[in-house]
Amino acid sequence: MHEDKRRTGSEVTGRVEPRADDNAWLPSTCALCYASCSILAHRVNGVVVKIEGNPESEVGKGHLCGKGPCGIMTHYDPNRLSKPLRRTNPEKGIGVDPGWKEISWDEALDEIAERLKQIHADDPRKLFVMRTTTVTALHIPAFAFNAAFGTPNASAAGGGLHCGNGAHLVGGIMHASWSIVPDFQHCNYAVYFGASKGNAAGHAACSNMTMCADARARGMKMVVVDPFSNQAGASADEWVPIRVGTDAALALTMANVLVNELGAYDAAYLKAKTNAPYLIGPDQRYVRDPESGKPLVWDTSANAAAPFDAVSAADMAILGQFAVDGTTCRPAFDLIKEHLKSFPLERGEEITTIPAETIHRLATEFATEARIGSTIVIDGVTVPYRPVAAIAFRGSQGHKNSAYNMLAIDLLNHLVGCADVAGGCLGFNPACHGHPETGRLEYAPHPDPDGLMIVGSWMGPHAPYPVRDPAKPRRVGLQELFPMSMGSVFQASSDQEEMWSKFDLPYRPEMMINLGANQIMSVGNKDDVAASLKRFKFIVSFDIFMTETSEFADIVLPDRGYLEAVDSRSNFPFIFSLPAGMGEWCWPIRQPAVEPEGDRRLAADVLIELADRVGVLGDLNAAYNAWLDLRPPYRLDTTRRYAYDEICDVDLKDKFGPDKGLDWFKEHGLIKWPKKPEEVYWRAFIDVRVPIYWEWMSDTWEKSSAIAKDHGLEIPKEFYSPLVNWLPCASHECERPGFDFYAFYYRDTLHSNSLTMENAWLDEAAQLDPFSYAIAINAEAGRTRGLKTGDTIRVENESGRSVEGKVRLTEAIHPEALGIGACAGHWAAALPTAQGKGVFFNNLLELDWEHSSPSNLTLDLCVKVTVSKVDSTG
Amino acid sequence: MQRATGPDESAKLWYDSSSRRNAQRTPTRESVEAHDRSTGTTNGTVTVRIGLFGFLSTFAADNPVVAKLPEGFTLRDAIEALCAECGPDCRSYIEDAPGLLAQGFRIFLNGSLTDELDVPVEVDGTSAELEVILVMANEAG
Ligand code: SF4
Repeated sequence: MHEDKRRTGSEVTGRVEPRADDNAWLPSTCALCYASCSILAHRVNGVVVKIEGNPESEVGKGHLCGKGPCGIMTHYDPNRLSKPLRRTNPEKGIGVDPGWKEISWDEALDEIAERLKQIHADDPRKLFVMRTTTVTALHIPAFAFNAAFGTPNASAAGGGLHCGNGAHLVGGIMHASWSIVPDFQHCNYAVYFGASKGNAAGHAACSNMTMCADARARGMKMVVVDPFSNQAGASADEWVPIRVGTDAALALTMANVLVNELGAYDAAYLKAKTNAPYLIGPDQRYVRDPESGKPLVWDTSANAAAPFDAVSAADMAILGQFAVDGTTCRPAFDLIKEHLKSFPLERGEEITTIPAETIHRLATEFATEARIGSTIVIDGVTVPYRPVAAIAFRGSQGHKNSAYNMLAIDLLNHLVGCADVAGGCLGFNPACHGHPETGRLEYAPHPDPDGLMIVGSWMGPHAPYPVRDPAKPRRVGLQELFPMSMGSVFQASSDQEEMWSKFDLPYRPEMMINLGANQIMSVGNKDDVAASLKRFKFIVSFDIFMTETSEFADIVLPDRGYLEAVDSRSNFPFIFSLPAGMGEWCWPIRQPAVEPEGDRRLAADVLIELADRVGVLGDLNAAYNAWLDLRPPYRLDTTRRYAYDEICDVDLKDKFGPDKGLDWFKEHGLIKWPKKPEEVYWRAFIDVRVPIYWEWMSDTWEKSSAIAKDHGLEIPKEFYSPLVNWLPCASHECERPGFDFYAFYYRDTLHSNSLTMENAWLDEAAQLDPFSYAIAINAEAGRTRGLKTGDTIRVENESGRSVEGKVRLTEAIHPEALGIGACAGHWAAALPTAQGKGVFFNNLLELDWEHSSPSNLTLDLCVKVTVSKVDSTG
Repeated sequence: MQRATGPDESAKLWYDSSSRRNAQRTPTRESVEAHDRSTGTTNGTVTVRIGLFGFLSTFAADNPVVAKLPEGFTLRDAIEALCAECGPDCRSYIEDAPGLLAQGFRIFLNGSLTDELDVPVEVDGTSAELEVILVMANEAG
């Protein structure tokens, strides 16, 4: 019956009001993870009774993961917050009862606005705003509020440090996209390095799962390189167990085989689409044309150097040594080719533990399957065809060598010319010709003066390239000094005061607005995060549950959940979670399926109210105009107040025309139009190059190092070499006896961040899953230490921080690895389902400069640990 | 491929979409960073009202800042006038380096977001309305 209704669409409606015969399917968007799959919520007499995937949508392609349908249990959880609360106990700490009392919204907003006014008058930078990746409706409202208030200090708990600081950076610089994925429709051979795209969580999760399953049925071979054979490895053709944190060494060893043994590289691609031909001088910089300042290449037809854009790409040398005005220089590719020789098979094996013959075979298969030089006709358009892809995401780049771990893997794609071509490694929709009726949403990568690619669309103002010059930091995260960083450890690190003092930060954060994040669980060890939270004089937390972090708040405001919320762009920009590959552009919205319960209010509306009370409403409207790129006649008037659904309405009309406002979208759920091959396989149609040689790194290091040195901080130079490299984490250098496991965590498919542990259905499923709440250790390695499945063990890092949990012995994990699922181990009393379930891995993470990437501030997420048995349950 | 299994059919596609001899397709640094005053007239002046929003508003004694600029002015001229009025601290948030605007800097000309900083502003009448704001956010996650 439900199927029939959706087929005809006759009862898909935007009505929210319950009525006697209320029985409707409402198109909306899941928010249990950032994949933002399109859903249909079935409401009967005002109650959501079922959630299914919306088959009309490209986002999820009609499917949901196991979490999606369980959203009902989060929505109707009796432990949801429904009233504003104020603490009565001024003492804050883990396990300290805040003494909550209910207050009215007016009381709450009066107090918060008063605090905000004081901060705003004093120094707006003293406000710190924390958000999360699961409450996606708050993306734009949070950014707009920050801009209006005037604070540059914001972060995304967990996501900022544990997600893709390196993956997004490299995705942006090399693919103009937030992430990368195989072109499932045409790829024949995909190598996954610490990624689960198409098999578990992540960007476009359910769309990718559908596409990946089809690809596997079609015959795509999937090789998974990972310390743990979980969701991706289990469904692969081949699982290649690797020592934790050594993916770059494997990729560079494979690249060495490709380039120096097989000669398997796409010379035409390298000449035309990368900086491979740019001449590099002895100072590691480009040799530039004195007149135009442009990088020089060697023109083989004229036997002379010339600016890169004055030479036919076919005539550019990528190998050799040349003299330009008396200076000896070499094309960037020539240097890379030589550099790769420092990764012979034996060294690759020594670092990664993967047998040399396996590495050689993988490289040979990758080269053979790449079909370098071939083309294919798609929808009447001829495009290059390279049906191989090397992809990576959170796992492989969550290390000290974050950016270069990612770049080393992506280098494989650029060597064989499979970047953003049919069958290859695609960014998520980096080029869009715009909506056919309005022309809006048109964007594309474009070149900088050096011919290198600048993204056409990005998640924020900090475009990944060109990399800005380092400067003395003014933000609490010190990002100005580390211009390739997106998140920063210093928002909660143990050494934050030391660093702020070193760099003479002229203020200290005093107030925090927390938008649904649970950073005490999602960032690192709880003691350091708790200490950082206690430093705030005042915290207001918008939340749906009383989490461990909200327990540190002074005022907690009950937010609406995603089934009660509206959002005009639940899936924009397209570089984030719209599936890559051919298909359709798709813009869905989120709309309330039910009226909010209790006194819950939409955080976006509360932020508008606060902006009004603080006196920055005009600034907020200007910020919305900027963030949403609203154009006349739809731009917001800076002199009046709007409700958030009015803003959503003008956002939609501005992009899709006056007849396609919020009401239209509530009825239809989404709008779609076909993609063109020139958009999907844009690389062959847009004149941009990408840097396989990161020339700016020497300059960036010299400048940041000079500033840092003046303030007593050494920045290690090796992380700033222009040549991509593998560098060890602290865990690889730990030599303490007994510390013989590399601990890491992985994203469990049954849970998102720390949010879903409280979901009763998901908890039940996770309890049935042998790994969700367990500590995975290799069977042989465990047995030799006297461990068996079910034993309770203590896992301890070098500083003595520890977690406990039950062991699961398995053949599916590297002998040196110790894997912990999800972000579990809640202790908050108001989360009774979640409390005590699973293992709190993050407590093993040190939060400081020493454990962060010196180039992009990503937190090193692998830890050397020792294991001891607590008891045995037999 | 250096060891292609067949003819290299994709090379033409790569080369055709790349820079060629004598085709100066990419902008020079000068064209990006320098002012181009060669077009537009300089007779008469235009009253330019520059509204500051968000953090930038903390630098303005009077908001909007009003500047008199010659006809044919560019947005870069207007930004220069704004920085001169609001002081070096304000400039340090608007520019990452001389002539290089901060990534979060946004400017609206008569209500429309624009990044054409070096094009003479066409004015309908004798005044123009500008709005500027820094969009500041973390992008992580
Ligand atoms: S992948 Fe994420 S957005 Fe999609 S159904 Fe699952 S939890 Fe919801």
